[in-house]
Amino acid sequence: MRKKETPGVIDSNVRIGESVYGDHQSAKYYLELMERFGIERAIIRCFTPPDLEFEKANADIENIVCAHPSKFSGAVRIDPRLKHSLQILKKFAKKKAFVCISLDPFEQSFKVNSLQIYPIYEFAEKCGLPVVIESGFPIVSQPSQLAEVAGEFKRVKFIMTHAGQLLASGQSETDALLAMNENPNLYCDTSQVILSGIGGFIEQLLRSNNHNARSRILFGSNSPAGELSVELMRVDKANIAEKEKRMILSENARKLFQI
Amino acid sequence: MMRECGIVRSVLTSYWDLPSEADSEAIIRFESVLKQHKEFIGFLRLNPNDFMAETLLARMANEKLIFGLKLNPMTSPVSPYSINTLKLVAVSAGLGLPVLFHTGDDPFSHPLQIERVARSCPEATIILGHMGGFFYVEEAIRVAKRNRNVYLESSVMPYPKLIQIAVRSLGAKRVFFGSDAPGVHSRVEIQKILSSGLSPAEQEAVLTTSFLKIIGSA
Repeated sequence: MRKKETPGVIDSNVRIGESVYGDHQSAKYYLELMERFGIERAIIRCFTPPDLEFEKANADIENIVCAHPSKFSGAVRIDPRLKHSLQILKKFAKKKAFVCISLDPFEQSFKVNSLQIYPIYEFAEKCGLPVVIESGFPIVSQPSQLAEVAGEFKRVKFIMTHAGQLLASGQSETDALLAMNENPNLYCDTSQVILSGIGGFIEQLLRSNNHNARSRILFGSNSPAGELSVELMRVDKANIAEKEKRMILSENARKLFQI
Repeated sequence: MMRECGIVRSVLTSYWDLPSEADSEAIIRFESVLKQHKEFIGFLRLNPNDFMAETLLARMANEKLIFGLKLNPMTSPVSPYSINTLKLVAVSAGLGLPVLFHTGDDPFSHPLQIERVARSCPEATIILGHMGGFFYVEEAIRVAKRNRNVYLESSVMPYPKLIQIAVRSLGAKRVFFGSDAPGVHSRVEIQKILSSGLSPAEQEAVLTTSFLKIIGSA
């Protein structure tokens, strides 16, 4: 009997292009990283582009995905403060290249639980696309704010990047655990999260396993800010079963994004 | 974990500020661990508002049980430049003990706030734990650049390339490796140093020699 192959790693949090804040990463460079670190597929999105034109930046992402359909899936990113953002979202969301919506409340300066953003969530509910939210930022995207939104839009799947914990003290861990345990439609990614020690966040979340929490954790590197060797090791060194690591590294993202 | 990761010595602190009276057992436990395991370098974690803090610090330093002071102004909670904190830092400097501050994204923990301590007590050796956390790394590097008595410790801060920037800006002698275990697995934190683009000599300094120089006889 043929041995079943282990599915490759899915990196659910990658940026490609150029940022108004100076960061950048080419598709070619990230493809090399994928090869080096055994990443099978990545969900890619644009940075906040230097000209602030998200329509063009999303088109660039679409072109990259179409050039590498077996390697990349796209996340359509918008600035929800702008009136035409919903039109941009509608334009790209129907394209095959895109599997989710991406919001960055810190860079675009809005609170995730602001009523102003609700039309975006209503659209996500209608079209069935998950919404990835840059999380853990003070004022705009703390875990409790994500939890409120997830509670309001129960049919939308939200992904809380960094498990909502961009806080060196670890003091937001409890909020993040509560948010995950109370909202079956809330997912998180592992990028930069303080999770790999004994009793770390992922271990706690898996042990509680409310609403099948273990199926709601995704591997993300947040490349290029996050470094792949370090980010993969966060999962590798977590005190959890190998099957659970496989779910985090691969299976959960495949199911969520249907890739 | 030390064995698994090839770590030969570790700075050890308690989880919380050690109370001087309310829980003397916690102090006894801390002392006992330090006496039993010479691979640990004790840094006593204190609340500067504890009226016995200075006495406890001096006693344990004189008994060669500790080699540094740890302060977390956010959990105490007390301003890093309050009179009591400055007094305790001055006592620590007098005893030849470096002071490791939690820094990062919480109130009382910003590198620019800790800079006031460094300037008020220029004789003190100040280590910015987590080198500013997630959002204040640039400030931490600038504070260290402006103040020769300030050093950076790398734990938790998630971006390897910022470690390289810190070393290029300050020199490898002023950047130390830390893991913040058990919050983060030590191997993850070591990987950060290894993938930060430092030369082998710089890596060795950050991982080993730079810190040993400031703690002297530990």
